[in-house]
Amino acid sequence: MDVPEYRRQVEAELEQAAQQQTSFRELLGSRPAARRKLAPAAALQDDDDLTAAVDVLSDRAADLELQIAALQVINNNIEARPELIDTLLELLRDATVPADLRRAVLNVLQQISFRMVQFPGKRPDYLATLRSIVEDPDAQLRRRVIGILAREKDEYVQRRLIEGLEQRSRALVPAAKAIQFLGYDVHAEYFPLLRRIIEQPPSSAAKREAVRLLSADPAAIDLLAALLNDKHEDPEVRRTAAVALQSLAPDRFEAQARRIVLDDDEDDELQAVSISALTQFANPAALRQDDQLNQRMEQLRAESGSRQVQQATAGYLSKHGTQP
Amino acid sequence: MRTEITLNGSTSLADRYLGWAPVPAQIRLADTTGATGPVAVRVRNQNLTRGGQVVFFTTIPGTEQAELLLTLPETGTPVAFHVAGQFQRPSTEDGDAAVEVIDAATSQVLGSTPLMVRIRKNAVTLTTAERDRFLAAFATLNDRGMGRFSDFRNVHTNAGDPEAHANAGFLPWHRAFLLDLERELQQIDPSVALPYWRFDQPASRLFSRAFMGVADPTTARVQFSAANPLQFWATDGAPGIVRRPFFNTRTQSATGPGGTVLSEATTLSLGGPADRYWPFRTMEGNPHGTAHVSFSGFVSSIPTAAKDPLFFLLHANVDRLWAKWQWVKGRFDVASSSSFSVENRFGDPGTTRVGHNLNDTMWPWNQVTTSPRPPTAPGGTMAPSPLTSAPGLSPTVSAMIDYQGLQAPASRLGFDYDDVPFQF
Repeated sequence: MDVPEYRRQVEAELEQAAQQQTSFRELLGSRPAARRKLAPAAALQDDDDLTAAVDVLSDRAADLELQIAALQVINNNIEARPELIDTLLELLRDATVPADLRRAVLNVLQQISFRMVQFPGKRPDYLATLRSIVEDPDAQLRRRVIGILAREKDEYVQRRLIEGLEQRSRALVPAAKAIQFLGYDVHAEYFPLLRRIIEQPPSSAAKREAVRLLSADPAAIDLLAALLNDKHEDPEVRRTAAVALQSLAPDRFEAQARRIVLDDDEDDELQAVSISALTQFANPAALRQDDQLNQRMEQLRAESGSRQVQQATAGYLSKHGTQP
Repeated sequence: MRTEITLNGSTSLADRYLGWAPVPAQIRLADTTGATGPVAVRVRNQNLTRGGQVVFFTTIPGTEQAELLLTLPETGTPVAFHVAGQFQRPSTEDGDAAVEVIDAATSQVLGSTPLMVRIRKNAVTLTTAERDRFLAAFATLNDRGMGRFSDFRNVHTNAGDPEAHANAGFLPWHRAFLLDLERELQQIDPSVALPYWRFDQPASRLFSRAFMGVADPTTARVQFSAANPLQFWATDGAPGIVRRPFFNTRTQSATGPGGTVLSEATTLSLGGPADRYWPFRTMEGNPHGTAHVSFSGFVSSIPTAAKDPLFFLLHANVDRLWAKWQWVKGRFDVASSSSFSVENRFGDPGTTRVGHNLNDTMWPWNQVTTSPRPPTAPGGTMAPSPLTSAPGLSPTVSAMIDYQGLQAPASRLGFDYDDVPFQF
């Protein structure tokens, strides 16, 4: 297609889309079944649309889909009415508001935080509101709020997460999520707790997250290597240990990766991970001179029953050896 | 007899990467053996059925031609022309395109110059090889958390937030951020271009273990296939990525509890009846912000968003939408307030926060760390390119607008999108 014809096509698409746009008040007046097909466009919003949107948000009888459309209108016009952030924060704090709507409000507040020039001035209120609902009865909302605070390196939520790991009755989220959230701002004081969790894990997911986070502890090299080399260990934990050791002590991992690849009695997926790591990060000159390893790669490519191993060795041989 | 072609004034392999925008070229007789006078030659694509394709121009502006008939002096004096990638015919491999020169009289091949029509593509359309080259380059840049990528991660934080968001410079700043990263990737593998996530369409090929990964349903930890080098991705001292979609990536466009991203067509109408930049910029909210918060995890918060490699594919689509708006509405003139809304330099009447005015330099590339700029400037100056000297080591906002060099050829930044052509 030549460019002028392409332009005509694009302009026709834009014209068609423009004809389908509607204002929020028109959306309000349409039947529920038709609403999904109508997309209130930001370009068609005015002050009356905004007022209508605020009214819908306050109407406990309004259906969720309409309220989400109302939230988008507010989102699109928030710079003209920055005080509406307070309205949204109030809805978020209010446990009598349906959880679906509160989650939608939180999502819109997150969107606003990405683009509103006045938002930094509202950030203290926003964070305070989030802190006030870390114990909310709605588990989804609770988890998302804690995640946002954790990404902001909020010290209050960090303390609450630690409390929950040390005392299960105080846990706000599952242990694996708590550890993951603490990973946004790793402190050395977490390391002893993580080691205890590895020894006595409340769940396999929690153990993996703890292993992963110990990649920030220089003193954990031997522990990670031991987990990697323990054939009786959960294979997923071993793979996590591989990635963590790769990050913390790449030379140590590379030696282990080589051993794993050469071992006939190793987990297939761990072998595939090891091969991929060598392919991506090992010294190409050293690999070229490693006849034993290269022969092993050819053998695995030809004989392994694992698709993952086959794919990994194909990648290795394409980059470092001869393509079969 | 033998001919030689230079692109961008160079015969270097590093210069043989084209987009849709025409670049200056020259051809001359490098070996005049057998030439008794001027030689008529045809300059054309070597293979019309495979690989990237190019078009030629005798003058700029001008009409593109499938081949040129030129007369080359027997003295070896060069003859100038322009060459560009043919729209919608990009390369998939380095060197899969080639300009061939044949003697018009004898049909003897006098020269062949391999090159690549290198274009930013929709991620779901990449070949397996394209995808794997991109992932390998990205993983190399990250280097298990120890690589140069950490500078990119450390730029997009709460400290840098006012430089990049919530104001007029949002789009130019992120265009510069992506360009810097892409040039670093191209120093690792010059065949790589940054793909984009078209977030207003389902993208199951992108959200697969072989590409950007699939979330563990319990922990939201992203899982990769054993051959995917992103499994070794690390930031802030810890490996792994946390990202879980609120929507079905196989069947839906990006959607969060608070709504769905605007379609491309609706986004392109945000400029209003007069198609002006300031209202168009509200796309920072929806679809940009909406796409970010259609997930939980790293990408959903400003201070952690750039920890996730998906961030760059998301923003490549944001930038593509801006580029497409520019093309459809003709918004490349930096002197027009329809192209960019805030004139002059910080401190002049009517200007806004520093870094968001037309002639302001942008942090971190300007390396300014005095207030109100952030206290550090990770990463140094803008990565250079062998293809162009634009936008310079310390780019201004204005330098990011005429990215194809439509108004001023020297402004060309060296990238293009698969569905946004160059058009005089």
